[in-house]
Amino acid sequence: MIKFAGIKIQNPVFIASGIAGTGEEYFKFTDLNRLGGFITKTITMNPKPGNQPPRIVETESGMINTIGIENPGLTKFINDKLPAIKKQFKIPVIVSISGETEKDYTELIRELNKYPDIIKGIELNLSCPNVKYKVKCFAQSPEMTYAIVRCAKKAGNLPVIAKLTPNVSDIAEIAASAEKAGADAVSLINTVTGLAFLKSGQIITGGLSGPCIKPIALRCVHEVAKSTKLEIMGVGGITSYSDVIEFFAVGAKTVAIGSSLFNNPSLIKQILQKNP
Amino acid sequence: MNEILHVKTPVISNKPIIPDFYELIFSSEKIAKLLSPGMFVTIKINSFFRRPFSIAGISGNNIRIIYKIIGKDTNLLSKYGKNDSLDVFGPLGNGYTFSKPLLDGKKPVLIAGGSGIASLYFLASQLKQNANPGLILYGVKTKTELIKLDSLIKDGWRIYKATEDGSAGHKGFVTELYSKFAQDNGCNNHYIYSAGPTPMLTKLLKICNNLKINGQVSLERILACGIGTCRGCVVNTHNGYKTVCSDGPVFRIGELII
Repeated sequence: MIKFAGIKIQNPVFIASGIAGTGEEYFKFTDLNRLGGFITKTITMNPKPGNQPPRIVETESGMINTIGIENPGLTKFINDKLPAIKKQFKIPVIVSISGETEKDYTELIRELNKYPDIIKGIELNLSCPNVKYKVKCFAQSPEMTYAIVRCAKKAGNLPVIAKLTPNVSDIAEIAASAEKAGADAVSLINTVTGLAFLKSGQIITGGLSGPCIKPIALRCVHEVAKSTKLEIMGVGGITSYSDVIEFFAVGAKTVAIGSSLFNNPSLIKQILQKNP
Repeated sequence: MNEILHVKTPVISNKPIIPDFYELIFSSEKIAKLLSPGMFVTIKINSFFRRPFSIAGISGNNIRIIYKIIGKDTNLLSKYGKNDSLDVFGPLGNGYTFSKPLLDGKKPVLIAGGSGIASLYFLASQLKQNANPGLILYGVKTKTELIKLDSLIKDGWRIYKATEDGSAGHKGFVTELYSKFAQDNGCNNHYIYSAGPTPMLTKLLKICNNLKINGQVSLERILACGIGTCRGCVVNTHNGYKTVCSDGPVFRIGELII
């Protein structure tokens, strides 16, 4: 057993938020309980229908998505999703949350704090580039990152992992704010803002993910590892066990598998078997 | 909870049936057992997204796919030879429903556009257990793109063709052919099953909604996860956004808002 953000885990491999929903579908062909931990798709206070399609476009070595945090909202998540999560998962489940204000984050955590037998941690989605906040995305400002992490830590006892965006000029500065505010860990990185054309000529802007962002993620992890004492979850473009080793080599303590799982549904198994 | 499999399986055969259209056969006992018409598999070829293929038929453990070369990946797939390893994930999605009570007193009308014929071919071969063969309306650009449907004709299906250039059958779109057919012969007992490109299905939905005809359509979309979790391939329905890969690809005609 190792610990990440104070959470006991059997190995350092997670599924990143937004990849496998709340896990039900993936259990049909893979045993998610062999992972270190699972991060749910982001939930918000109120239900979100998500963005109008088209929402995805394939790029040279990845994809751009603009899903818009489609989710059933906190109440439906607790009533409809948590019982199934409890039934299926034997590993720590971390709930990813997003809000428009500090109050949203506080209320979400206060509620989620009531289920310590199922929920072992909170990931703050501070960096989703798809949703038009009234303010710019929190993780692009050191002050706002500090404020949200601080209120998340005060709102409950759950470990707090801040997921940061690479779409900043100085990721180390943002990470330092999260550290100062008491974050238990950071996850690096969320998607990179990008633009691509559909065959129809329509433009899609959204979050770029996949193997093409791995060098950006590695650079971010490296910079934050050098400049803070934070525990780091490396996320971005992992397609193999050797990618995992690269993230460890630049300072990540854990990793999360992202959209490459769509390309290779056996990726979890292959990484845990240490297939290069 | 239906099982999904990710397998590497050898190609049994992969050959052109008409220009630009290939028939690929591979074997998977487990996937074959779980498949029904309208479901699909994804194959990893050379791009980040796996490519979805609907099933044209099964015979024992052999699974048959018909595909058109439309890009780099399908071009590469056409080069696969016997015993080359195929990376297959499936079966995925919800297929056509064609129970006896649903089709009681109905005439099944299958409307195919281009490679949409694949899943309807599979449906036509299975549907005879629950209903008498009805009509197949089959539209393509030009007559060289028409796939032979001899075994379905033998089963009693009546085939009507449409080509955009008029080289065979009705000159124009298959949707126009159906519209004309419904006006000339009535459509009260029709039950539609359709698959094809989105513009064709959009037109068909309008026709069916105007004439109050029920049925099901299979949608084509670009897919990322293939199992409903990424929410990337949604379509708008009267019950909110639904995923084409997992809630579909087959939807009831009245359900869709497109």
